[in-house]
Amino acid sequence: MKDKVIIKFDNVSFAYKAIADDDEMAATAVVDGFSLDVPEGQFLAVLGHNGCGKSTIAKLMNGILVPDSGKVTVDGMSTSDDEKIIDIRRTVGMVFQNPDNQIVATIVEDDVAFGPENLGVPPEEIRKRVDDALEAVGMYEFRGREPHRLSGGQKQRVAIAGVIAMNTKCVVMDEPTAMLDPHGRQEVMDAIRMLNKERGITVVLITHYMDEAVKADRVVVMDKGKIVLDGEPRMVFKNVEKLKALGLDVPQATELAYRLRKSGFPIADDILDEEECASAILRALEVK
Amino acid sequence: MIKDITIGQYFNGNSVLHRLDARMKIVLTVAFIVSIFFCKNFWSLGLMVLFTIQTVIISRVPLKMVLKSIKPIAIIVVFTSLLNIFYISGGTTLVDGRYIDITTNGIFTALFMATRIVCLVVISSMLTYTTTPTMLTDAIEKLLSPLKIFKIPVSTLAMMMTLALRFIPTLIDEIDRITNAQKARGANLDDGNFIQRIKALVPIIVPLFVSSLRRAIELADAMDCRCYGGPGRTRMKQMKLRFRDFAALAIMVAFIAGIIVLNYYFGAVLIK
Ligand SMILES: Nc1ncnc2c1ncn2[C@@H]1O[C@H](COP(=O)(O)OP(=O)(O)O)[C@@H](O)[C@H]1O
Ligand SMILES: [Mg+2]
Repeated sequence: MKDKVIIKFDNVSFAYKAIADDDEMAATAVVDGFSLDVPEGQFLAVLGHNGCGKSTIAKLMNGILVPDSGKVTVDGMSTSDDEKIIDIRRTVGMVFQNPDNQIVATIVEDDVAFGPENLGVPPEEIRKRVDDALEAVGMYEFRGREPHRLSGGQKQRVAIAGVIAMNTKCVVMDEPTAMLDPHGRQEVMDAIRMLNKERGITVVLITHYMDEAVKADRVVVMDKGKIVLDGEPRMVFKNVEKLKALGLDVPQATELAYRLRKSGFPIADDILDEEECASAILRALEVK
Repeated sequence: MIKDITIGQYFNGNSVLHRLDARMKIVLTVAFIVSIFFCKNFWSLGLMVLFTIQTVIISRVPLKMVLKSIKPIAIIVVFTSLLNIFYISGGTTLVDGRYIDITTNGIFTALFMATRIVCLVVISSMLTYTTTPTMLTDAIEKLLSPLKIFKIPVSTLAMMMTLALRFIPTLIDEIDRITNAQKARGANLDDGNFIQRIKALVPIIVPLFVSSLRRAIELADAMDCRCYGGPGRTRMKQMKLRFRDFAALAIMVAFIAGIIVLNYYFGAVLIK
């Protein structure tokens, strides 16, 4: 079942409506004719400049928002189907940007237990899941702490544990590292990678850090509510000029290789990280 | 500095009081508070004081913290005592002033009132020192659950309480940040008369209000994502009454009986 699709966008359009206006003025589409298949087990990164609709896409993925036209299906269930909404949300979990606004309890382990409690899981089973989830993100020793005493990275790992404890098949993360320092970012990225590689959970990571996107299986680049680039990181980051025109960066190593090549240095155009870059430069120098 | 705020005033410990069921603790605290007002003579008052001291010792909460909980009410205690001394008449008159009399009844009433208030505050703070906010809200939810038959949304109210407790430190943090931001823009928050200072708070309260609304919206989405309001809410931490809870109940019953007996046996101290 390698290619089973877990989240499917089928020609989806969505616009935010101003509630005060009766005559629906100026409701320009934020997402417009959007189609995307996310196969089970994939680590997908979504890139795009501010306001291009990334968060909107994320919220469409588990029925926080429902499409105006087109269809979003999660594991075969339509998000527009009210009866299925709980099943959809126990399949696709979500981690938001601001860790302070998604932690509900005054004790770490109580917060992790919140999801399974809502799903009516028996107490002993919740205990097991909570311990396991906290263990998985390396926050077990902090289980009795108060969340507001933790660092940003730790809070975000608690939020991830909260999703793991719900046994979701997929996790959507909307810029989970945007408010963190480099150390916290590293902690969270490690947790995300563990989730995907060890537990086989599908990950949709929305980010504006290129070095995070490089680690994904697939990168989707959005602009004005549409997909403009889609493929393996190596393929996507080849399009240095196009990405720059969209107001995005490329990984630093890619940028260096790009500039070298532009000034006539014979170096490959699919370089992603420092190591690849260094060895490519060495090879090129030896040939010379 | 903000990181040092404890939610509520829980003192982390492992005494018998800490391990008692929170529901039992609430019921016992209420029972104690009611019984306080039945003390009519120095014998029963003494028993109450002894009971309070014993409770503090058992809890192993440092005396300094207990005293801290009395501090805010010190003024009220002194003030009511003075009022009682000067305005209550009856009994033997000790000082016969032109405008005020000081009588034994006045002094006794003052003494009783002061002792009662202090004991009340100490015992209630024992409850919050030995019980985490989560346990407290859970217990309140359980105790109020019979109200569900009147369609009162007890679980929702308990959730609101938990969230309020959860967001106190976050909002204090936020106030700190906004205050600094406004000061950096030249806002003067520390000078001026009363009215001016109140006005100076507006640039802090408005952004705080806006950001709280944004937080609330995001929090609501996050709770939706975690299936709040889903198929049926179970709890990881089950509350269970154990032997020690019934032992505590027995002690409280004995205490109240003691108060009643002492009252009856020695009569009231105030002379009508
Ligand atoms: N709740 C909302 N109401 C109205 N407009 C919104 C709302 N949320 C986002 N938008 C608008 O929709 C567009 C896309 O927003 P968003 O999906 O948050 O983008 P991104 O996450 O990529 O920065 C933006 O122009 C934004 O102003
Ligand atoms: Mg966004």
